[in-house]
Amino acid sequence: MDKIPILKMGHFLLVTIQVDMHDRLAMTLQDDLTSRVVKDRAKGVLIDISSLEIVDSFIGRMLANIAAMTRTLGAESVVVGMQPAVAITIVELGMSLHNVRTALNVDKGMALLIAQLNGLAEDDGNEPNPE
Amino acid sequence: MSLAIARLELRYEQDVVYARQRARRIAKLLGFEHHDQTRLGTALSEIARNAYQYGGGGTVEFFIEDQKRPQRFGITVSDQGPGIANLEALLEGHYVSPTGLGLGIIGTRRLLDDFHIASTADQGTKVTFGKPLPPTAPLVTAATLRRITEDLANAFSASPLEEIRTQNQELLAALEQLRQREEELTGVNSELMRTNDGMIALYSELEQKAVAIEKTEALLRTRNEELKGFAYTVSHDLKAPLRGIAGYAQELDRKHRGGLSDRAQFCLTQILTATRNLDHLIEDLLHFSRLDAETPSPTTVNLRDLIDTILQDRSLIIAEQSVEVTDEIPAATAWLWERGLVQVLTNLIDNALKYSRNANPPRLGIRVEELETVWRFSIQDNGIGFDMKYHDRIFGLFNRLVRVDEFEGTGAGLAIVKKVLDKQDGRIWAQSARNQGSTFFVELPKLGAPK
Repeated sequence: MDKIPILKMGHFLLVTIQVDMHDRLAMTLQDDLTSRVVKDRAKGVLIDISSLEIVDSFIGRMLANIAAMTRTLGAESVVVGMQPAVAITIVELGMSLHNVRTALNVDKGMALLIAQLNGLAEDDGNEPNPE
Repeated sequence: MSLAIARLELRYEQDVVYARQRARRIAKLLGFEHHDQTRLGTALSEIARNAYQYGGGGTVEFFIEDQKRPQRFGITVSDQGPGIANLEALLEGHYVSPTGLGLGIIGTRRLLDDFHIASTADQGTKVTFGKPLPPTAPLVTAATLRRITEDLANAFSASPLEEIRTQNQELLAALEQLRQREEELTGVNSELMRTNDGMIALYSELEQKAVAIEKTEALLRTRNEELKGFAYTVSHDLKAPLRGIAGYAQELDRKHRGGLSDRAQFCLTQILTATRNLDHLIEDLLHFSRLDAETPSPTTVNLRDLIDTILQDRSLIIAEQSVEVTDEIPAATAWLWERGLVQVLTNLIDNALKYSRNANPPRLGIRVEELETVWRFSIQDNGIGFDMKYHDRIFGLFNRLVRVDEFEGTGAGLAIVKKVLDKQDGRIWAQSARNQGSTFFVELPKLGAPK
């Protein structure tokens, strides 16, 4: 069974989703990522979804779950590279990803994570919405 | 009227992914802008997942509605699942399943302009949704559809997973067939094994029987040999004491008859007759057993001469009884066992003369015919005849139908004839009735010409 590779970069884990995931693959990624956060004592997770053409409710929920779980384990996660059409669709679907931090691209996402690590989170509009 | 574009089965998880990818691709080919491609793909992803997860799989159909503008791209997803029980509440947004079913349906409805859902308990769910083609898009015709179909085939059929899956399914089907075939074979095989066991049992039984038969045969052969020897020895050994009895009785008759009382003379006469009869009997028996040991050896036989010789030997009795003899014999030579033939004809002619001697006048007819494969001899008389119900008995050894004081004889004659004929695959039968005379027929197979 295929897997989405998870790369370790310093304190952070980097995931680039480049295939159209079926549901089980998405669930596997969720599980793998949580295990790796613990195993690698990661401080942050960066998920690049720039290749995803479609994010439906299931994948959206998976992203939200990852954010919630890693945060529980003490690691922030940032989703980067969301295509505009995907963003529009997510909103129209009525999904709220308000627990998920997002950034425009990998650079901005890394910066966000580093700032977070240094306790200097910038207020650049990508802050998670307050509950 | 709608034009079908493509159709896809939702059997595996991966099929949901294929469905949404196709939806986007088709939307792109039809001229939808990028946002709408994503909307349509996402919508189908939601609905197809529902069909796969809750409906146990289903079918996706892509089509174009109406052949004139405005045309509409439609997608139908149908399954034969349990149906959605609380569809009303779900559509009003009051219910969201723990796994997010409600969100998918409501979200999809929100994403697209037209959305229809119908669900019947235990019969399944059918969802149809779509989008009007953008006004800038070219009119979709059959040709467009052909192009789309080609493009889809190029884009997706090469997918290794798809390929492997198809092959896998074929393999599974083949395996299933193999399994059934194997079961059938096993059935047939076990039946064969049972049959085989039966055959083996039967065979060994046969073998045992064959062995038993062989033993019996060997035993019979030995017995037969012993019997032949016995018959010969007995008849031979009996002759010596009989000669003694006959000699003393004749001496008594010739030299001392005067000194005997009437009663003693009568007894002596009886003794003499009895010894004569016994002598004949023993003679016949010897003859019979000697014939049995002899192997037929054919020679050239002149039938006319042979029969004339037999009649010549009996000219005295023929003259005495004034027998009318007729014959019909071809002037031919035959390749036959002469001694055997003489034996047969002598016996039959003697019988004819014997049993017709009281007729007035006695008649004897001898006829020889050459048939295709046999020589046929017939000996006819106008004697006492016999009842046909005794036909088979007369050929048995020492079987007689008449009393010895009426017609002398031992009952060995026809048995000897039968034996001679048996030795050369000949045949004998008779045609007769009481007091109507008899005709005996003999057939001897023609033997191969001498070399």
